[in-house]
Amino acid sequence: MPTDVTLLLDELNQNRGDRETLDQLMPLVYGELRRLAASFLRREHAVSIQTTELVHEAYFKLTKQRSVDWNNKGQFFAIAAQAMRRILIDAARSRKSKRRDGIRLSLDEAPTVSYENEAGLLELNDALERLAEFDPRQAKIVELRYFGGLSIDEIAAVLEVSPATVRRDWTIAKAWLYSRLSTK
Amino acid sequence: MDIKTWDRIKELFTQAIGLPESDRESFLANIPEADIRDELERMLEAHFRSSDFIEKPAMVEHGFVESGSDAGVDDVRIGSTIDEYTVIEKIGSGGMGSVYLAEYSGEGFTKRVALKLIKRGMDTDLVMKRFLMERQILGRLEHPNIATMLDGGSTTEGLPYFVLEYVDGVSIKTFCESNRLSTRKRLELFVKVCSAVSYAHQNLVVHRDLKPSNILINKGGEPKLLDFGISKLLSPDWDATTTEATATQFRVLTPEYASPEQFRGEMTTTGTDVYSLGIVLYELLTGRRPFQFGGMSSSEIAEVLLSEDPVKPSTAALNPYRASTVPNFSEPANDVDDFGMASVTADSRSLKGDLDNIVLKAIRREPERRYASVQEMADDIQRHLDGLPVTATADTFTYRAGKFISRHRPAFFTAVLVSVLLVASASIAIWQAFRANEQRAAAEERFNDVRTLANSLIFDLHDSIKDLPGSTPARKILVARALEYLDKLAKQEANDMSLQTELAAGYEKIADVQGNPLGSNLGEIDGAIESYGKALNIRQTLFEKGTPDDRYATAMLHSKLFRIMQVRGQMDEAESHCRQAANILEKLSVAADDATDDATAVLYRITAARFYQELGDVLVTKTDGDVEQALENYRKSISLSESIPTSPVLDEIGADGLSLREKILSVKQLVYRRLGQRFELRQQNDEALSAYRRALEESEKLLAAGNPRKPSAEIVLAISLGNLGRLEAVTGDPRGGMEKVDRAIAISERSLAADEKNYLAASELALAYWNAGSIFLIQNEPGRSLASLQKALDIQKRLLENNPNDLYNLGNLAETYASMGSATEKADGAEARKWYQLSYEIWKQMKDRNVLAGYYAHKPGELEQSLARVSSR
Repeated sequence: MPTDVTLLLDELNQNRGDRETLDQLMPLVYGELRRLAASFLRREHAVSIQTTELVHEAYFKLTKQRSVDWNNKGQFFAIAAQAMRRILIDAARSRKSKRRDGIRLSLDEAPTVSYENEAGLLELNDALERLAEFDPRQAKIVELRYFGGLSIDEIAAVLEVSPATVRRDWTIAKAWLYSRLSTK
Repeated sequence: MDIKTWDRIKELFTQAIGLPESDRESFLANIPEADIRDELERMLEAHFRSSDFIEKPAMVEHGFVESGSDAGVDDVRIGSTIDEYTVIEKIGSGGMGSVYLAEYSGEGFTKRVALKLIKRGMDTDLVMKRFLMERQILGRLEHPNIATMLDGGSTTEGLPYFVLEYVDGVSIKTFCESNRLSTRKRLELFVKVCSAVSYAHQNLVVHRDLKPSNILINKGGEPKLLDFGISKLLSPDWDATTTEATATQFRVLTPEYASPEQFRGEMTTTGTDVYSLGIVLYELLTGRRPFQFGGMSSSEIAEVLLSEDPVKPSTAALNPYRASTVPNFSEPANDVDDFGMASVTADSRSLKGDLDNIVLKAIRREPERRYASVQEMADDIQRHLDGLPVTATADTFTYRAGKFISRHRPAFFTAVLVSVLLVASASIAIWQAFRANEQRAAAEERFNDVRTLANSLIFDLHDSIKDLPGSTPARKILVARALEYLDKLAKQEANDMSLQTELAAGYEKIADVQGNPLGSNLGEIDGAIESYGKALNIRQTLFEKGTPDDRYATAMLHSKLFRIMQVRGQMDEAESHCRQAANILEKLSVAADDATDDATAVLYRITAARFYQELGDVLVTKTDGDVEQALENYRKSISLSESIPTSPVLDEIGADGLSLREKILSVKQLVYRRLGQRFELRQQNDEALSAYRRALEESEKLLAAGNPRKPSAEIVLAISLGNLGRLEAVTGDPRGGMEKVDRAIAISERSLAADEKNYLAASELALAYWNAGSIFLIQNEPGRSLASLQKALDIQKRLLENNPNDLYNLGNLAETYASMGSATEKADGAEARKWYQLSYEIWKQMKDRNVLAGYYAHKPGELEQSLARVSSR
């Protein structure tokens, strides 16, 4: 049952924040990103993937477009960033819960994959949720940049603010988040 | 936090970071609200420490793991069977797939194996086809440090799998860190890894994905290398119809350990493994890798590798990982287990020079400028461990300039050049064998020709001409030619035990000709050291698999190198070889069982005893020698000798004309004398006396055991009598002491009369006269003392005239001079100054030449005091 992602995106674009549309889109984006990343890993053999490259490819795949409708793309980036965040956090949680001590005969490991750093990632995620409570825009900026791989200018376009503002917020958010982690 | 407060914090924060640092404090101080001020301080501190924090996308930092959807499938496997393997548990997973501990049940036995299940996405048929082609080579890789590939196949769903020897262990990195191994230990471990890789290379298998997680250390502390050859089987571009040289490259790579040519898509060679090993060594020594690639694409990494030079390991070691409690978001994943590992890094100074050069040579970006083989790299590390000069040198300016130019040439040219160089450097035989099976026979034939030729050159031809007068130039040419052949052979067939043993014997033989420390030779000592080293290398590689005889041969190689180093005054190297010889022999003697014949078992034990005694000697001779440790080795030597049971074999006469009994007694008397000498120097006279008595007893037995009596045993008896006699006189029995010394003089004179060229007899006669002179001095008879001392003096001067480097007699001469000084000081004193001065000069000279043994270290000072005493009169 193919879902027309372009339509969903259009709808989302016209009716920003539409929960239902978002709920329909998210699993599609999530799945596509995972699938793409996996095939990237195979093709490039785990040389680290550029997040933006991946998101772009997912966008083209899902929308089956050859040209970019910027409004849609912006929306898509935002969703993709959120999806990436979920993917990584889910993976970290599942690894954390499954990890067993003792000897690991690791014949190979996906090279850019961290097995040990989930604690840091999960901690960061918690701090980000707290930041969102009193400064949602800053939290969004961190999500777009850190999880979505977007540039300052792209974030500015998605959030419809000036790049200077994004840069300023990014700096403040980083300092606040880092200060929360360092006290641990 | 309420939004108002936050808005104010944001405002103040932006202002504060725009201020010069000097103004920031007063700016903060002027903020009235304490909570806001505190928050700002906290954020500012974080701000200045967090420059890298979350700057790289999360996916890059934390990876993109597929465990979610595959996990279910994986777990289902546990308890199931794949062909004849029962899956027990999952022990790893990663880019290629998952690894399980599995069990193979045969008739009446079960065997634990590692089953590597390749994930979906591979063309199973293709992989299996390759596997069948390669399995012979892979299965033939039998090396104690390589996890053998046992089997392969595909599951019912069509996933390829490989079965490997199961290794219960941890990665080399973890092992080094958790055991806090010293740099030396890390290097020794690494050399073992190299020998395994080298072995694989000789069998035409390149690993291509070496990294710490593929190098496990098992419970016994032995390295085990995993995944040899597997990377090639899974290569997307592998084409069986083309040779390696034209195949495009294989792309399963781990960026941190992959070589520049792998990134560039050029062919991979043994040089690729040299590079990866270099990175691993860099990491083991410094705790970090030379390049950090977090977040880069493969083309960016290739660019970094092309344009950036790695930091020297010694410099890298100056910046150990921060022992931070904050996860370091900017470091690549694998480094995370370094947190708080302050012991990871080696002392930067110990890396400067050799180790910097070795590591940097291994990771040079041009494969042809790296070590030509892993073995060469291992050899260099071993040379470093042995205190010998290494071959790796730092890049020169000229080289750097040339490099700059060549960087701008088309990559194509470089690729062609590399392949030409590599083809040229591989031996023809192996290359042919590699290309096609049909040519294998031809290659083997040629190989055997070379083998025969090398052997006949060394053993037949050389031996037949060695006694001809004027044959030295011919012998030298023979040696050079034979070495060439051996070097060629050495590159091949490392798993052919008999060939390798032959090679080792060949190198040893050549080394003997070049510079046997115990026989006549060409005097090419440097060449001898190198050849012995090559022989030793082979012996060490085969050590685990070798027979006791092979191990004994290894010990003998150590013993020869020990002698050479001892004569050269390279006492650290001497100590190392001596210790290894002793350890090997002791282990052999312990392992000797019913299957070992009695004479051999005794020989192991007595030779071990001998080398522990030598080790003690080396330790006290070293300027910083540890006397306590020396005594310990002497005691070990004694207990080994004492543990030999009497049996008829002891009276069997060996090739050298000595019975085992004589050998035992000879070592025993010597070690007791050494003990006596050390105690005497420490003025523990009671202990010294009893040790000298034991030495005398054993010497008498030794003389009696010889049939006929051996002249050398007579001298030994004279020495023992002299030592004991002098000390008895010193400790209050001048009469008894003098009796023994007189006997010593008589025996030595008789020996010398029988053979006036007997150097040892002459040396000991001089020593006996000196002993007598010393006793007369105690008895307050300076005149008679001087007469005896003069005789000692005359002999010693004559001996030294012909052998100015005879440190033994040189030291004795200095002692004689000093005693002359004491004697004249007692008589009239006028001449004392002259004698003391002469003695002092010898000691001083020995000290300046750095040949003054540790137990004589106090001598120059002692003579200075004597000189001061007579001057002040």
